[in-house]
Amino acid sequence: MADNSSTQAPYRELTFAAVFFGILIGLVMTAAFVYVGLKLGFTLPGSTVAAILGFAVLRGALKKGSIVENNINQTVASGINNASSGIVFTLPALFLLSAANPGLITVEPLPAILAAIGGSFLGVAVIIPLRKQMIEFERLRFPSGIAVASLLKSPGAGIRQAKLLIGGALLATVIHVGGELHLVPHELPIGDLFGVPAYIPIALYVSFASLGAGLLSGKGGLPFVLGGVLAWWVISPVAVMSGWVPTPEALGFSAAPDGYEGWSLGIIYSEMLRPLGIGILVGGALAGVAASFPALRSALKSLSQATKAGAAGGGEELSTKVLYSGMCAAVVILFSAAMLSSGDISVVQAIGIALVGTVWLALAGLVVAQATGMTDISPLSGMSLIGVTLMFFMSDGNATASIILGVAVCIGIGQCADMMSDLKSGHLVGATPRRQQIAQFAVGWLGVPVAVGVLFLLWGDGGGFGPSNPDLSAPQGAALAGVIDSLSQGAAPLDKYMGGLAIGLGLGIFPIAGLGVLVGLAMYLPVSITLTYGVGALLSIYLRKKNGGEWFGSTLVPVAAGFIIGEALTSLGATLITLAVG
Amino acid sequence: MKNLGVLILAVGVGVCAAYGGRNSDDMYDRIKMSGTADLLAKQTQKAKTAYCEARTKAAQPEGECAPPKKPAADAAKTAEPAKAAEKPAKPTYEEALAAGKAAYKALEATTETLSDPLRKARAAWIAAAAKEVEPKARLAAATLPGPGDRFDGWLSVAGIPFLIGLLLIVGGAMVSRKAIKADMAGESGGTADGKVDFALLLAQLRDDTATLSADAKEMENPSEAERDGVKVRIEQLQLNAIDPLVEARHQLQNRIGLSGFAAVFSPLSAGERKMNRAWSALVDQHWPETVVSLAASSVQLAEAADRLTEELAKG
Repeated sequence: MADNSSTQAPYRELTFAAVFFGILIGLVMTAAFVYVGLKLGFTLPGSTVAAILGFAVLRGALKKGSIVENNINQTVASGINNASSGIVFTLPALFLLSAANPGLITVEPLPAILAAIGGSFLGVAVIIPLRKQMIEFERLRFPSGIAVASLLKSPGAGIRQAKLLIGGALLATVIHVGGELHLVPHELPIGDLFGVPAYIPIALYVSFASLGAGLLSGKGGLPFVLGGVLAWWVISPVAVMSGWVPTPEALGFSAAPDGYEGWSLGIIYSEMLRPLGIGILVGGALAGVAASFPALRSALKSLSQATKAGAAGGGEELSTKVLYSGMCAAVVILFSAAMLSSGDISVVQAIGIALVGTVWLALAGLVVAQATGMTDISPLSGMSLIGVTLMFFMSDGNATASIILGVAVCIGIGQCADMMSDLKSGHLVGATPRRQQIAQFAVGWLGVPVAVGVLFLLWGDGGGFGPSNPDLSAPQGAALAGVIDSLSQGAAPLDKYMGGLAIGLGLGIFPIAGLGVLVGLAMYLPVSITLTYGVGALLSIYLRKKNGGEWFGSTLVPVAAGFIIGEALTSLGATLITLAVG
Repeated sequence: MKNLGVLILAVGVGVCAAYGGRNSDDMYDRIKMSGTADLLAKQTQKAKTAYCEARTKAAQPEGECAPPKKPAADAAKTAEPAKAAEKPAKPTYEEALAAGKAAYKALEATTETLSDPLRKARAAWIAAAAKEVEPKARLAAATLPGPGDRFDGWLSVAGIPFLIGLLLIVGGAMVSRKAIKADMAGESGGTADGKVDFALLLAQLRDDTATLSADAKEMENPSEAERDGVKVRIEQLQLNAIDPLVEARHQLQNRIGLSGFAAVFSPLSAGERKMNRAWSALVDQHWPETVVSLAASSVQLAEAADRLTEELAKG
């Protein structure tokens, strides 16, 4: 609660306490989540955890945190923690390659840290003009952002809404714990019950967070569901029935051997849907940029005018100067990182890498922010994969340079999505965007040296993590090392990327913003996630129609927010228990 | 017309995506090769598991079934070298086959004395491993089609239907756009979505916010009941004015274009955010910030209303 003793004191927002505790929470989360990522192959969303911890410290222990101050605290903590996923998805690949190629590849911390910090700055910088576009004009939902805002606003939202929020969180917790204890299945295989062939998968992912995201997205999320339907109920059966996926006979078996169904679904996903989905995502984003160009131009213009005039509202947003200087600084840092990463990189190559890396980071940041805003699901790994592929070709097949620059891309685009979600929460609680951006700019990079340091620490003398170490198998890093291996054999699915790009651009003509991004994202994911989200979206449409907008805001939003918060916190708890018990 | 457009678009997306997902013949062959090798490897693994389970039951879990020791530095032996030029040369089919046969021979030979059931289980495993040798060698010697080859190959098998699908997407999208524009033009001039008169509602919001701001300024030391009253009035404005305006944004966008829409929505959103801030400050019992934020919201909303008038005047 705010300091009431003197109501003349400034309203607490960007305070030392908010930043200090944000840094503390963020650094602890970063170190812990790097370990979690190496062990399990995924990290956990930091915003909700940070909001709860900040709430406990600022409002609970110090008894003086305001709503917008908590928002700053959570922005700082999640911004710092963003480094954990950015580093753990990419840099371990370099350690693994260095172990496989002693003498040929070495891992130097400085270029990795430099690249990651450059990516972090750039990720925050490109968000400056996009905030207006995505939050104020397009009004993207950012379900996690809404959930965090509901949490921050809970002291003033009334007992009824607080009960709904807690009830939703408890329900999600019970279901999630049930899943962890194998009392509740992780997936409901509805198709199996009706004897539907495996190549037309019908299943629901038992996740109240996915359901909650669908509930908050409503009709805006329907194209996402249609994308999943298209991928798995159209392309998949067409591919199987047309023999585009080799039959058991074509493989030399007289009948389908054990594992054939799983293998064929894997091929449909990895060799068809996923790369095509990535292409559609990129095409859809490009079309979105083109379609919203007038609004983006207006956003930039109003930022410039506000900066010049110093008018009311001008102090609310970081100026375009910061955007341009941030981008220039990032190009310089990426150039330096490219030069330092390997002695084989020429100056011309490094300039090319820095420029292409910057452009890709901005575009991929837009894609990830848009996808997260529409669905709460981030295609971070797909966008990073393309980033590494681009860098691989730009560096003439240099694995070290491509991974180092891939780290920058991964951290930068993660920063975009995280910052945007925090800005959405900020908008809903009335925070000042400029202060949030300053806080993230100033300290968002702090997670980088910690995450890299933890990796070096865990690696030890070599082999501290990797596929042959069951305790820390680093699945994402091993997968990226495998991709680098494939790329070195020339295996980039250019046909799928180009085909997808054309579809995404075509969908951009249709008068629904973000259609290509949603369809592409759905193709890129397992159908069970899409369907659960779809159930939430359909339910939301029905309930809103039946009960009206007021009921939606006062009842459904806190319940859905509770679903997301409950599952996020339970996941964290379950993960920590798993790690502790071993 | 709109539905027809959506239907054409849906067919186009289906055709495009299906053929977009198809692989070139070269890639299909490669998938076939790896599929055969993978599935045979699974069969071998299954046979080995059965053999190892039999050994466990027979209280002989060691030997070939003992877990491999892991030297630390071998953490990622599966990963390949960084640059193609530095990698060991790819084996020819003959070389790979010879290496496979040698490995198989080594596997086949055993000095252990096994009971009958174990010997049978082992024979099944070895037989499965024998089937793997040739497909694995073929896969090891095969080269992956390069990106350019994949693209050319894909164009030759799927290019025409893909192009037809793409044309349908573009056609369907254009028809839908036209239909939606016609729908908008058919709406009564003063309304934004047929239900909400955007200009009227925005003007009302501006006036109500100005009144609320003025009322708040007059309260120097408000009681809890008065603060609650202000909070309720803010919540009513958020629910009854701001939410409907935000919902009607697409209609406004279609009516005054993207640049005009941005010019109106920029101050409107700033005003909305300031009102949210006033609410937060109220909850935090910081009255001065509530007053300041309401005043700022009022200014921004007045600017939004002015901009809308200008944009509508442009015709």
